[in-house]
Amino acid sequence: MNLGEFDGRHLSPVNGSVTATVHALKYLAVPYILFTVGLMVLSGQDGPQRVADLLTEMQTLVLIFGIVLTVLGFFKGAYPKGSYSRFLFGITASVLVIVYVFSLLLGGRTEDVIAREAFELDLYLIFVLFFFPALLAVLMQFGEFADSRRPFLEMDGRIAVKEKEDPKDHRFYHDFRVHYGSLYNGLKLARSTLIGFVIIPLIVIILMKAGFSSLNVEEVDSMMSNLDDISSYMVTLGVPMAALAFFKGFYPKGSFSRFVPAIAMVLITLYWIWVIGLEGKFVFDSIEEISINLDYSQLLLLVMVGTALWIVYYVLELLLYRPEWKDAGFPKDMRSKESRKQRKLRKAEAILAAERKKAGEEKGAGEAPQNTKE
Amino acid sequence: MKLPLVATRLIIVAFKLMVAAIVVLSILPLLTGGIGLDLEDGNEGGMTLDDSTIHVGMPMTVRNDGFFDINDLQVSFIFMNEDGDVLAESEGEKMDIPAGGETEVSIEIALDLLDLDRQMRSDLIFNGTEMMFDAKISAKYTLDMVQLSVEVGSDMGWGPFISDLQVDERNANAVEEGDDRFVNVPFSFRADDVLNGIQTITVTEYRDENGYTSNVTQFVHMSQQVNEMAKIPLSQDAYDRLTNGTANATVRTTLYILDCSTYDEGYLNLGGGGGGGGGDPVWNMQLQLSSSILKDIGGSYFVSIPFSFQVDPAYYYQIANAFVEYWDSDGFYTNVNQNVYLDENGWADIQIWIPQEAYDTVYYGDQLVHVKVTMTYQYWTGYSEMDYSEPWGVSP
Repeated sequence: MNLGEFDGRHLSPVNGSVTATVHALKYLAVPYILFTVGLMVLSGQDGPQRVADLLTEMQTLVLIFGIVLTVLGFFKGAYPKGSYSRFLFGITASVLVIVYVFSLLLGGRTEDVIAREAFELDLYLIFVLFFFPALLAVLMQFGEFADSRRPFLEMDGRIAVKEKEDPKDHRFYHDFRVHYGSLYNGLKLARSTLIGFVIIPLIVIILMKAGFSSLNVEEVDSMMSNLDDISSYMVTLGVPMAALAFFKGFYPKGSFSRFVPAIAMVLITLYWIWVIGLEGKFVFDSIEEISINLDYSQLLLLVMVGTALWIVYYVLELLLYRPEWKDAGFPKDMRSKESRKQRKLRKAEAILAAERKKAGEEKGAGEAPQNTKE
Repeated sequence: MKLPLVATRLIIVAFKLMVAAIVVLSILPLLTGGIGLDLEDGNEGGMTLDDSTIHVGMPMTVRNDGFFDINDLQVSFIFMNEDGDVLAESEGEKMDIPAGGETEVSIEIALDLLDLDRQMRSDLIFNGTEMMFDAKISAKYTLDMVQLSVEVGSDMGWGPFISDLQVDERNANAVEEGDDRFVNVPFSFRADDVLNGIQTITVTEYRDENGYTSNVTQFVHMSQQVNEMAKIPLSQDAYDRLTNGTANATVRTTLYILDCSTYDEGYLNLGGGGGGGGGDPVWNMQLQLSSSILKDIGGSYFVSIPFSFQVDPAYYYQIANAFVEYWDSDGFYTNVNQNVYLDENGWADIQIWIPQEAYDTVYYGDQLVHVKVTMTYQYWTGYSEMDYSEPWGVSP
């Protein structure tokens, strides 16, 4: 590790303040306010003391971890991407978030209090579900470091700037080359897909099952069984979708390597909607001699049509971004990290290159008749 | 981002918002009670019989304060017997309930009795029966994109529509009209309101022990309580036999409706003698062995034999004789003679002493016993007999 990368000359207080503010809101202010409101509601309604004690204890944890994460966030944001310093602070913060959430379980006491006051809820299972996206957040730090290391060193003048690839030698299947991909973008999209299609639905199902179980009514047994089936579908479909999302995010816009997983994702999403929508038919016949059938398949198909429009979007994206990506020499998809100035510069370079090319063609065309004459 | 992509994204978002709005606007009225059914108390449905079809009208008000019309609202019923075989189906008209108001709709259950097999129909009319039915309510909502159907299965008690057909042979009388001879036999029955005013046929038949028969057919308009008189023509000989008490005649009234029938009959003896009816001092004598008990009094055993009867008030406070006979399945037989006081209570309890073997037979085993009680008062004799195999209670 190069300790010089911790040097103050790399440090940007403005960037650091932005990241620190985001961390402070996310890990300190919002949870602290939520627990404070909870305490106020409890005291107003003369709620149980053990809940108040629990919330107070959690507030202390939020203060400790929140402040530490805010400080870590400042240093992470202040150092440039691709530097060891940013990587170290980033990975420390990501791991600490896992410890932070685990500590809020208070060794099982949170679960006990919820069980006494409401219903039995397996918080450790929910933590296990949270652990997977949290692990991806840790890996994202590695991804960001791997993606940004070369540009950082190029900018620092420590290595030579890589030459652009010649578009003439590029075939469409070359789009799948790994060096076009961005690990950070891939992991980020995989993580958000995993959260949206697996983690949140599973947590909702866990909460619903806990709620239904507390009713202790035989009539909900079939519904619980349905929820189990849906859970397994969520995992079976959600995990491949997260894998596809990785490749979609990994490859840049305008590449076939992004287009193919994107289309596959839309198709799986359509099936996911069909499954989670119970194929448009809800049957409730748990109560003896009463059966309720609800057929909303047409409405579900309408939702699916809306989702299917994303296929049009990705086709357009491929068509519109491909020339640009080609002209830029097939770079990694890092536009989101470009500054406005850099973006303008890149566009100007592209226009200049196009004009040069056009001028060269005109010149070639002007010389050809002379040769014919000769 | 490029403009066509922004436009596509906006179209997708707009489309999803539209679908979300449709879903919210569909669910909201359900949650806030904007859609519902009202069955008002004063609006209870009535039952009518039209030819052979029973119609049950059920007026209700459908409130639709939602944003979408309710289309093709349909109520249908399936009637089944206890085995689940479909007996009859009734399908209501499809109705549309426009959004933003209340609509009065009349749900009608129609059951054609001729769709039922004769036994079922007979049970339904004369005895009352339980029928299983499935009610199904279906409707389309949210621009016909959502179809809801609710099925409710239940038992439903029907009838009896005609009950208590009784021939009042005790008030029968023989009449002479010039050269014609008749016997007037009153009979009565009850009819449900649904049959009010409907005409039915009764046939009252006279038969004596000499093989003489005669009958009369009547058209009867039904009402809640029907009291009719069957005027049966008799020959002079039959009339004489009836009036001098040697006819031993029976009279049977049969009521016909919807290809089903029921009857009641009585024993006519206007001239005295014999048992039951026609001025008898005692009638309706019945053993009440379900109330009998066994007793063990220090090694002595007896069984009490209760029986009930009805007494003509003219014979109150008279003494009749009861001869009770008892057999068990092991061949044991005993009898006892006892006087019975005739009063308005109409109850007697005769005790029969039995040996231990006979006691054990009925106490430890589920053995069949046969009991017969014969009552005699002056010229009148009547009896009742019964097999009994239930375990008998024992009093210390």
